Formats: sequence, structure tokens, C-alpha cells
Amino acid sequence: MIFSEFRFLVFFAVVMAVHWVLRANFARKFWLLAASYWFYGVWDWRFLFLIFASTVIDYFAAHRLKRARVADDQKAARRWLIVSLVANLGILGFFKYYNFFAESAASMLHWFGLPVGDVTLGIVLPVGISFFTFQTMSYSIDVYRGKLEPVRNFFDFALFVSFFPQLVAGPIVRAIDFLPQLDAQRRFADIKFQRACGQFLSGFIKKACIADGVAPFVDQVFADPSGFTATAIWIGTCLYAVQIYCDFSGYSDMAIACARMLGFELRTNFDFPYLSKNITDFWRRWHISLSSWLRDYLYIALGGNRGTKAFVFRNLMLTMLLGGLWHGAGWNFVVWGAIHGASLIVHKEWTRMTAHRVPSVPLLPGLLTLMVVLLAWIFFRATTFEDAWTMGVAFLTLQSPGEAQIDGKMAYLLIPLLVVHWLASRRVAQYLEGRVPSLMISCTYGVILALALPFVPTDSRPFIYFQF
Amino acid sequence: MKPLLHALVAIVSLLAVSSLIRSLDRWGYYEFSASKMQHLEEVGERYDTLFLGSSRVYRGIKPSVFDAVVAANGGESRSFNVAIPGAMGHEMSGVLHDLFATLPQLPKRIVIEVVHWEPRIKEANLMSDRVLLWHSWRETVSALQSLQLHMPSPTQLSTREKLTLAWQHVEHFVRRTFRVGRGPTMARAWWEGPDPKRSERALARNRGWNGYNMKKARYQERAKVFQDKYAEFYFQVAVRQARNPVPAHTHELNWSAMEDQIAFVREHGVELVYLIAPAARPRIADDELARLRSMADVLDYSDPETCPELFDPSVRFDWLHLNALGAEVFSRRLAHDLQNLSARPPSRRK
Repeated sequence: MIFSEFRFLVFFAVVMAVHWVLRANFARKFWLLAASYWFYGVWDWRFLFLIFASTVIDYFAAHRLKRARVADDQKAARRWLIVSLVANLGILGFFKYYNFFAESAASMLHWFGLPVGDVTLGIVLPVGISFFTFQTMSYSIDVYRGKLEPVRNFFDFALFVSFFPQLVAGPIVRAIDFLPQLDAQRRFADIKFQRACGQFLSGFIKKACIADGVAPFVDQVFADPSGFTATAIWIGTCLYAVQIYCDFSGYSDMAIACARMLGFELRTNFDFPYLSKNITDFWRRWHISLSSWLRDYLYIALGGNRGTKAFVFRNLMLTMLLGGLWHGAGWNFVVWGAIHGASLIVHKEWTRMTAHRVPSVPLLPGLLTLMVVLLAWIFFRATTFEDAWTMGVAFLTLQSPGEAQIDGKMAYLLIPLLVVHWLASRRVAQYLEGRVPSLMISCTYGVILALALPFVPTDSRPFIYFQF
Repeated sequence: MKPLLHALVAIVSLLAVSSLIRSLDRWGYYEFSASKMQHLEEVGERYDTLFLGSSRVYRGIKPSVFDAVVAANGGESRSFNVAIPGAMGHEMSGVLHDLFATLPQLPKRIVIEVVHWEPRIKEANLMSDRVLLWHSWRETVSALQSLQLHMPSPTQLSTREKLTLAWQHVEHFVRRTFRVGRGPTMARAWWEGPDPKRSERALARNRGWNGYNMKKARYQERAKVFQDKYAEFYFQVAVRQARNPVPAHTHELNWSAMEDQIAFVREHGVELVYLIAPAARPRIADDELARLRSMADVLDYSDPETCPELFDPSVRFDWLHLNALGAEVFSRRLAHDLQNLSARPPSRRK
């Protein structure tokens, strides 16, 4: 059940209506918890046990951890933190990375002349596992660091882990942001419902019209890049950048809007990343909830900016490599992380060396950043290393590996993207609020939806980030 | 109250604009049949007889031959084949309503093939144009109602299956209403402009008839398989199939929908004739055929012993379809029979 599907809209309408009809806060929370488990169970009911187990482990580990801290027993506190981390990383590692590491190890042994049989298992990746394990891990770490008190009510914690708008593909919510909201008595009149509808609509258009609309062209190029001209490869790469941005930020917009309609505020996840001035800026604007998570719980834990230059570079590279691996169990994601890690190092060093000494050229840093990001997307999306290499070479040298072109008429699909992007970057919706009669805005939303629906492909695709 | 007012305004504007879009995309989801529909919309008054059915009619009735035979017998006819390959009852009913809403002048007669009124949608056809095509409000309601009908074994559906199916119909209806997926095609049409040869193409294709193009390798292969493997005992099998007593399976005919269809056609003053196409398959049960005859005129070509010329292997393309020669034979026979039927007073037709 994905957000752009008709059945999700029906599901959400029912959940929201019942949520606001219920008066007592505990009843609302219980209802949302039940709805969240139902939502997750629709994907595969067996994974309900997994998310429940993860919830139970972290709930109890956090309480034990707190007790150890109160007793000033640092060793016990550390032990309980390790229990939580091992449990979370163990679940993540088994479901997501077992096959990858087993295959890689087998290949290496084969290379050394020690062939082994099939070592992979038929493991199905539970949807959203990377997201909810990171959430529960941040909770345990925050309790360990003394930033957060463990939550008393188990159901509150279970709702934090499984809250359906952000369960399967983020934004990665911090307990410190979310748990206090559970205690607040919310009123429908207090929420900015119309704004939330606008945000949902914007996300829907990005996902269903644009991302799904350009997907066939992207698939065409990435399926056999050696048959295409350099121009087609450039177009295909640019379209993939559009697709992944619209897909993921569209999902985030819808998730944030759904949460807002239920009275919860989630953090912004994207802030016009392709308008970044440099690669560091890009990571402040792309998948913000993940990049800030990696910064706070990995980069800083590794030592952050402290220590020698080599040490800092090592931290940066490790963070990005692990960030790449977080996206998927594959060497292509590691390369993607390495490209970004190397770019961040180069940018850091360049900034230090040229601070206030080299006049900045307008647009050039942004274009260079975009080039790096596009090149990295090739490795992110390509199905094999050979394909990625072929595309990367064609992308950089403009040498065509083949003759085929792609239909350029699909460019009209980018028009709504540009319009939505431009309107959003200008904060037009916020500007119009209060200046234009609100009934007019509702009417406009109806018109926009009617114009958008014909551009929704009949075969809906799951969100790209669901696989992570 | 204020949120409800906002919701109402948004829904009204959504529906209004969608209605406008539908009016701009009249033949959305019709795929290749769109050219036929557009042709009939433009010059439909030329035709007095329309043939509506599945591929058996699409491949099997040649209007030019039909008209020539009628003319040779001193009559006058201008017919058009508006059949759609693979069409089932709901789909045909949808097309029928679209046709009557479109034609500048209604035909004198419409011949409709008797097919299954299957409420189930094949997995491969889910959200396809051909299924979206017929999910108007009327047909969706009809399909939903048919889920309530008694379904004898082995096609009994569980409650869960019925609910799933009901949901699928509703989803198809919503998608059709909002013209989901039609945007790129509409944009392309707008970009490239109307195709000036569109209607002429329909005419060139023998007024809607389209025989198997035997220059195509895949058709040659299919025909060869039939001729090599099955031709010698086709007639005997067809006889057995026709004699094979099948239990009444009312769900496949959806009587209530058929009654509505008959009433709808008659309300418009159009003569309705049902047609059972010549094909080797289990024949409609005798009691069902009698019931159908009590409701409308029926021309039954499913019995090889009463029309052996239509079951001769030389006129067959495969088990279900006639080849180009067969289409001529069938069109001639149909022209004679229809003329005879029209000549008889209604009281003596049963």
C-alpha cells in the first residue's frame, strides 16, 4: 500500500476521521498504533513480529540503561547500550546484509582458489527496516547520552517506532522530537489542514506524475546503456536525478503531510538539494533526516572534526561509505558513498586552502556539485558495474557507446516539476495563505488534482526508497 | 462545518475539471477502436446496421459482403462492424451506451453477440485500457450487482474474493472517471494535432471488419497449427461441444443486465438481434437459449449440424474464429437470415 494509491487514500481517510472523532488522547494513540500495525501488516504480516521484537528490546534496554545511569554504573549502562545496538544492527545485518557479505566472502575465497557452494539464503527484506532500526538506535543512544528520559508507556514507544506515515521510508524521526508530541492534547482546529493538503498534493504530483512518468525512460537507458548515445545517457542520468528526487521527496512530503493531518510535526527531509552551492550544502539539503542522523550518531561518535586532518578525512569517508551501504547491500552503493565522501573531503580541503582568497564564480560551484551528484547517481542506479562504468565514461567524455536515442517529447513531464519546484522555492503557498480566500485555495487544489490525475501512469510503482 | 465546505468546494472543482477533461478525451481507453468510434461520431448516419461483439464478430462479419447480399435480395443496407476483440458483456454494454450517445442518427438495427458477462478481471488485464474503458458508473454498478448473483460451482467466489473484486471495480471506475493515465496520450495528440486520416483508415478497413492478415508470420503459424493438428476432427468436436449439455450458469449471462440492455435498445426504437457466433465450444444451455429467445430475437450459429458450412475446416482460422473466406460465408448467411427475420412479423419470430 503506497501513498499514491487509491486504497491508501481510503485507508488514511478512515484513520484520520476516527482519530479526530476520538476524544481521549490514549484512545487516539492506541488507534494510531493499531492502524500503523495494520498498515505494516499489509506489506507482510510476518514482519509485524520483527518490528514488535525490535520495539520490546529497545524499550526494555532503555529502561535498564536509565537504571544503570541512575545507579552511576557506567559499565552496565554501556552494556545495555551494546545490547540495543547489537540487537538492532543484528536484525538489520541479517535481513539486509547477510547475502551481500556472504556472496562477497564467497567471491573472495573463489578468487583465492577456494570455491564454496551457494552461501546465500532466501531472505526477504522487510520494508522500512533501515528506517525503524535507525530510529530505535537513536532512542537508545539518546537515553545513554542522557539527552532523553526513557518513555514510560510501552504503547507510546511502539507508536514512535511504527508510526505509519514515516514507517516505511522516513523521514527518520528522533524520539526527542516525536515522543513529547504524544503527550500533547491535539485539536483539529489547531492543525493547518489546508497547508497539509497542499503539501500532500505536491508530494503526490512529484511521485505519481513526475517520478513514475520519467521512470520508463530512465529504465530504458539504464537497462542497456551500451546501446545509447552520450546525449541519451546524459538525459537518462538527469532524468534519474529528477526521478529519485521526486520519488523520495514526494514520499517525504506526503508522509509529513499525513502526520500533520493527524496533528504531528515531522522534520523537513529535503530542501531543494539540486540548488546546492557545494557538496557539503547538498548534504544539508538531501535526505536531511539521514544526513543529520549520520552526523550526530556516526560522524561525531567517530571523532567528528576533532583530531588530525587525516583523522577527520577518515571520519568523513567512513561516514559516507556506511551511509552508502545503508542504502543497499551492494558495492555500487559503496562506490556512491565513496564518491560523495571524496567530494566532501575535497570540498573541505579546498575551502580551507582558498578561504577568502579565490573570488567565487556565480553558478560554477553549483554546477560542479550537480555534476558530481549526477555522476554518483549513475553508480547508485546502474544494475552492474560494467554498465555504471560505461555510463560514467560516456557522461564524462561525451563519447557515445551506441546509437540509440530516447524520445525527447517526454520533456513536458518536467513542466509540472519546474512549476511545483518554483512555487515551493518561492514559498508561494505560505505567501498566499491569508491573502487569498481560503475557499479559493481549496478550489485550486481540486483543479490541480484533476489536471494531475491524467498524468498518473496506470501502473503505479513502489517508492524507490522502499527497497532501502 | 468549515472543513466540510472546503472539502465540498475542492471536490466540486475536481469533478468539474475532470468532466471537462473527459469531454476532451471522448474516446479515452478505446485504443485502436477509437478510430471506429470517431468515424461513427462523424458519419454514423450512413449506417443502418451495426455489429457489436467480440473477436468472433470482428473477424467473422464483413459488412461489404453483408450489404451486397442484402442488395442482391432487393434490400438496402449500409452496415458497420464495431466489434472489439476479447470483449465481454460489460464491455459491450459500455460500448453500446457510448455508441448511442454518440451517433448522429441511431441505426435501424443492432446485432449483438451473446457473450459471457464475466465480472472477474483477469490479472493481466487489471488497469488495462480495455477494462478501464467500460467502467462507467452504470457498468460498474452492474458488475457490482452481478457479484451478488448466485454463482454455482465451480466458479463460486468466496466473500473475500468478491470484496477484492468489488474493490477492483471501484478502483477502475475512479481511474476512468479521472482519466488516469490518459495525460501523455492527450498531450501527444495536442502536440501532434489530429490525425487527418484517422476516420478514413476505419473506412478502408472494410467498415470495421478486419480479417486475419495472413502475411503475418504469427497468423500463418496459428492457422497452420489448426490445419495440421485439428482440422480433420474439428467438425466432430464442434458437434460434440454443441451437444454437450452444460448446466445453466446464469452468472455468465447476467440476465438482469441483459434485460436492461434490451430495454435500453428498444427505448431508442432500434431493432435488437442477438447472435451466437459459430465456434466449437460448449453451447449455451437449452433452457437459457429458450429464455433468451423469449426476450429478444436470437440467431444461433453454434450448432454445426444446422450450419455445417461455418464449421468446415477450410473456412476456419482456429477453434473460435473464421478466416477471411469464412467471414464471407458467414456474412452471406447472416444477411439472408436477418432479411428473413425482418420479413416475419414479431409474433412469428420465436
